[in-house]
Amino acid sequence: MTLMSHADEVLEIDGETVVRVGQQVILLSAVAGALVVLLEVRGPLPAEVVQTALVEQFGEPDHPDLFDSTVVQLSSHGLIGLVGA
Amino acid sequence: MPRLLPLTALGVPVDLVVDGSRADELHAAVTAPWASCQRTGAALASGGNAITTQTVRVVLDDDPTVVQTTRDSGILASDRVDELLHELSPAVTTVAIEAQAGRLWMLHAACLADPATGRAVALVGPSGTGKTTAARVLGATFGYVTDETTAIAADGRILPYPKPLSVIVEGTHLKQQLGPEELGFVPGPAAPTLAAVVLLRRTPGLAHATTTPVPIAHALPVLAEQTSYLTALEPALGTVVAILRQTAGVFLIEYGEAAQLAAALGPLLEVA
Repeated sequence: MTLMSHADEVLEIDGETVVRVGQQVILLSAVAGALVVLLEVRGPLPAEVVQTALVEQFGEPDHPDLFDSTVVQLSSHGLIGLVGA
Repeated sequence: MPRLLPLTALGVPVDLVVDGSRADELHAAVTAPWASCQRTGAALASGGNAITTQTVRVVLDDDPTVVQTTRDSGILASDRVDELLHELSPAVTTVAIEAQAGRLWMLHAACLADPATGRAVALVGPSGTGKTTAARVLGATFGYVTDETTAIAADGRILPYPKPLSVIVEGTHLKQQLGPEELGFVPGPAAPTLAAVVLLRRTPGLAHATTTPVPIAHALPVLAEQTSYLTALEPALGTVVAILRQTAGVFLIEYGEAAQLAAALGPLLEVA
């Protein structure tokens, strides 16, 4: 199950993808680029584990502030995990 | 005898019913701060649908039993005027927001406007980031639309809510309620329209305010966090983006002191 399958709304705005899951709105490039759609949900993981793994795998995020808050919220809702985790 | 104060909040007719043994005293205390929200005609409906009048009851009474039983039934009650004034503002705002859920984009933002043109700027920021301070300083220069929730229709029209400002008072948790007239504010235009959205970031020590455009896609996560009943809009993000496309866009303004904001907002209100 991917993040996109949870999406209530997906918009392409000026070349960027924005996803809404309930009240939470995610700018994909703020997380780790569009590769986030490849991530699978494997149940809730501690936010710091997800953050560290994402940075190690994809490099530093384009928008660190959004990255932190987004990962924390997605992790707490079990909406983000790691392939193979 | 209960006293009635008819208000309009975010385009919603709200009947404020003041009751209790000291109803007259409370009615007198409420009237001045809320004067700009008093309803004199039909409330401005949105989406072509009439909105049901909401009621907020508030009781000022010296009898502790009356106060307790009234509060237990979910009605604002106290033996203190300042406490009721403090609680009244969020109560009115809440019923108005709930009544407009799904009809308007309700952004947690102060709003100032050019009284001549009606062009308005929404100043977005979580509680405690300087919105009220900014509104208090800017209200002397620009038309005051609201200090808390900016309600925007699909066509960019803003439904004014010139409520009292909730000002922190040293030594008490109760915020003082100061009406825009009491503060000498410039009255806002009757029909403001959204010209731009500003994300406020206060950095103490900055000598000048700086304005930076923010791409809509990048602003949406922040704006979503500051939107009431986002998911009630249909489509949610689509509505927000369509409104923003009618404006000059979203801007980040970093500033040191609120007094620097007037110079930064001026150009945004002038954008054709």
